[in-house]
Parts: sequence; C-alpha cells; structure tokens
Amino acid sequence: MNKIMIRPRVSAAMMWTLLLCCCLVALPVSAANPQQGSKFYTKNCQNCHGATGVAQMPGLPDFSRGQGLLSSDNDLMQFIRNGRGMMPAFRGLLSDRDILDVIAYLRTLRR
Amino acid sequence: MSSLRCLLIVLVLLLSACEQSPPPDALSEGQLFPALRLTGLDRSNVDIDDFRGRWVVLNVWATWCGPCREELAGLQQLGQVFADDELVVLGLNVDDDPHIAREFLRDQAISFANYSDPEMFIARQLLGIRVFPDTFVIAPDGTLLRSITGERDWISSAVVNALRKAVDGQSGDLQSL
Repeated sequence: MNKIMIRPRVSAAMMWTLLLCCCLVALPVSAANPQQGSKFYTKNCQNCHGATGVAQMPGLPDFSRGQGLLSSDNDLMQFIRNGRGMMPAFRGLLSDRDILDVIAYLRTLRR
Repeated sequence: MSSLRCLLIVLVLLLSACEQSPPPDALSEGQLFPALRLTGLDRSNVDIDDFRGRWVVLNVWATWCGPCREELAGLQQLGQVFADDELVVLGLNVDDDPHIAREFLRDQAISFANYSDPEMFIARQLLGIRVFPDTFVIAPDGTLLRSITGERDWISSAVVNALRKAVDGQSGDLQSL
C-alpha cells in the first residue's frame, strides 16, 4: 500500500524538478542581460570603443551620445556578427545571446 | 527517495554540462606557434611546420566576414612582393562549407594557399581567436611574432617595409602593425 502511495509523490517531484530545470535553462534566453553584456564589452569591445562608449579611434561611433544605436537589435547583431570596415566579425565566437547582451549593454551607455 | 536523489544528481550534471567551456587564452606573441595540421580547400594536408625557414603570414577569415573579404586582395599582393623562400601568405577559412570559400577565391582570383577549418576548432580552440579577421606573423623558427586583429592594408608601405625589415633580420617594426 505504501509503495502505491509513494510512486505518485515521486513522479510529481520528478515533474516539478524537471519543470524547474527547464525554467532555469530557459530564463537566460528570455531577455538580454546588460550586466552580462558589460563583461563581453569589456573583454571584446572596450579597446576600440572605450570603457564608457567614447571611441578610442577616429571614425568610430560615440555610444555615449547614442551614435550608431538607432539601428534595430537585428541590424546591430548582423553588424557585430559579420563585421564591416574597421569593425571585426564575431560570428562563431560570440553566441547570438551573448551579442544581444552586448547590444543591451550598448544601449545603457547613452548619457 | 533514492531514485529522486539520483534524478537530481543527473539533472545537476546535465545542467553543468550545458555551461559552455571558456575559450582558451589567445596566443601570446613570442611563444612558439602551435603545430597545426591544416587541411587544404583541395583536401590536401600540410603541417604548419613544413613552412619553417620562411616567414609565414597566416590569415584567418570567412566569406561572411566583411573586413576579411576586403583585405584578401591585399594579402594576395603582399605574397607577390616577397620571394617564395622569404615569406609565404596562407589563409585559414572558417566557413561552414569549404565549397563557398573555394568559389569565392576563384571569383576574386585569390591564389595563395588556403586551408579549411569548418568547425572553427583550430581557430577557437588552438589559436584562441577572438575576432575575424586575425592574422598571425610567424618567424622562420616558428615563433609567433605578431597577432593582428581586424582589417589591414597589407600592401601599404608601412606593412611591406616592416615585413621586409623582418625578413632581413630586424623584426622590431612588426609591433607597429
């Protein structure tokens, strides 16, 4: 009798655990994370674009003044993935999620 | 309860396996360049060490990478400036499909030797590349002297002169590239 009662409890616990794990895996995908983007920015972008978004090289946009940020996230993602001109490409090196995090961070640099 | 514990352990292990392993550090200038076995776009194999005794300019590129496409013609001309026994220009393409790279090179009349890394294993895991393009200048003894990220004008006088001096035994100017 005991066994019959325990099995449904275990099954329910398993289901809840699975559901929780699915949520944990899905959460980071659901929204861009500017804090995570900040880390990628510091590592990959800061040398040229500056710690506060003020470009360190001529010809680059000043993110602190919102330059270059009027484009959609999709356009910016393509730009970062494939590069253009002085901007190198990050495809295969940063995931789309990482790039969206960077874009979210870029949008916080405007003063 | 033991089955529940087992399930939890398995799930924790699965979740930890989902975490991406951190990329290796980028290669340091001054260290020996890794011994790479490269597969050509024509599927022939070559070891990077086979080029010992010559300066090597190894460019890592892709057809989808705008600045990579822009600098290929300059690299082609750079290779023609130097004698074959002085300096050789090589390409390492990271397109998923080597056929696309072959067609692109044919279309652009790029003839320097190109190799394929469709999984980006060499680029990411062995070379620690952070951006494309990335170009490595390797001395005849196999020492990596410069890792140059981003597009360059490879036939500018500054670049050609720095490489000429390096070939002649003075590699100091390479740092300005």
